[in-house]
Amino acid sequence: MSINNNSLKANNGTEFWLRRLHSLTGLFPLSLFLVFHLVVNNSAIKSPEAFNTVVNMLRSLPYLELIEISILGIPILFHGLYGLIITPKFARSNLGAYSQVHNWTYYFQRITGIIIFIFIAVHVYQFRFNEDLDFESVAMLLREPIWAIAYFVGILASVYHFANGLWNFLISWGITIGKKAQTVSAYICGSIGLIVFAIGCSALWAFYSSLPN
Amino acid sequence: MDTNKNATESQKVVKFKIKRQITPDSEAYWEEFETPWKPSLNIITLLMAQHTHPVTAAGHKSTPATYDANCLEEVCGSCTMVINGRVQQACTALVDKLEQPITIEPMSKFPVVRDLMVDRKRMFESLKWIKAWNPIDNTAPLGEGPKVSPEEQEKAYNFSRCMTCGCCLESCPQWSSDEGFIGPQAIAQSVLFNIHPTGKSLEDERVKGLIDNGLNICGNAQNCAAVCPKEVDLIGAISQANWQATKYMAKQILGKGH
Ligand code: FES
Repeated sequence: MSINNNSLKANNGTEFWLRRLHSLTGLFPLSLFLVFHLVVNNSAIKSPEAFNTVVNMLRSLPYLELIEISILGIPILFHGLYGLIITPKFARSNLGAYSQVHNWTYYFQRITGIIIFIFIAVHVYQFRFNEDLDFESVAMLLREPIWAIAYFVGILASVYHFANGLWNFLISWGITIGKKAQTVSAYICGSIGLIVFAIGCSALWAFYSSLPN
Repeated sequence: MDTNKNATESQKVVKFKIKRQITPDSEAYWEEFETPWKPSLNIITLLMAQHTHPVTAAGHKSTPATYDANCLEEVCGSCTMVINGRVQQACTALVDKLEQPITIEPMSKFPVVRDLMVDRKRMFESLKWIKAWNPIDNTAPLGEGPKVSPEEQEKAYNFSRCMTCGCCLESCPQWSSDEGFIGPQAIAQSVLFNIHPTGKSLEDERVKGLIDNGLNICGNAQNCAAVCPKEVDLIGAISQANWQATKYMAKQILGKGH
């Protein structure tokens, strides 16, 4: 580091706007979709037929591809790729010296981001591009303990990233101002996270514990 | 040498290591020192002992380690260093509370001038980017200033305690001096000057200064608030600045900015 290295690096706010967009896409549509997705999966608890009906209904939505690309594909790619670019550029973990709780939540937000990126790629490959997706084809995969564990980790990482991301969103947009508001919001976001996690796991369990027909 | 060694062995000593760097661009290296223990030693007195006897623990002749210090009562911020891995002021870091050998090194995020002395200019530059002053210059008298309520004074007082020491920036996992993030120190000062009824007239310009300098690069790790020796409400300041930026964005998008 040279001694003259004090130069101003103003960037006309590009970095700021990208960060805000990153934060916003995380909430809408990605968080909303995650919750919707995990809730809908629970039709598998009712019966395989119920699950198949829901899948077929979603697959027959008009303008499906357009919806998928615009409200899922592009936001996921933007959120994920931008996250992967800025994480190594900025994040220098220093947990050893400074180990208070939010330094950990900050750290896990980045770790889970990387896990989710890989998980989504595998998940989309396995299920979205499977033309005759139904209860049995999902169950066949998830009955294998290794995949059940992979999906458990995927759900855990996603829900953590969602709940902690929500807490971060509220700060980054200046909605929770000050320590007190942020502590309250931490409990609320944490509780929402736990509920969504339970919802996600219950569907996973329905597949894992189902009997082959 | 031998008699000297016997004498120190019978006494309690303080062992410490200093990270040395002779020029801004040269390689850094560690040197170990020992000095007789005395009650109430702090890191500055330890460095003063090293100055009077600049000989390493192994008996090699060395040079006095350069460091910055001024007030010796934790109000100027100039003696900030990384002690046992944690950033703090050397003048109030008590030897008896630190595990030995005590490691003393310069802050890692600022350019080293020599040894423990760093160039903290970047922080003073940041203050210019956000216009950290109240605009009261005029050719004619402006009369009495506006009233400030006790609540606002209280809030402002907390932010005004900042001594520009650099602890928050050193501990921030997102901040480095050359990557376009202004950092918590200047964000808090921006909020401070926006509190004042006169300073408020520059609020939009300050918020623009923050936006242009990566306000939201903050990742909410909140180390800054945890290490701040003056207990400046950096958590409150950053979220407050974020809200001011949200309002500013809304004005820009809705075309009410200028
Ligand atoms: S000498 Fe001023 S803060 Fe330590």
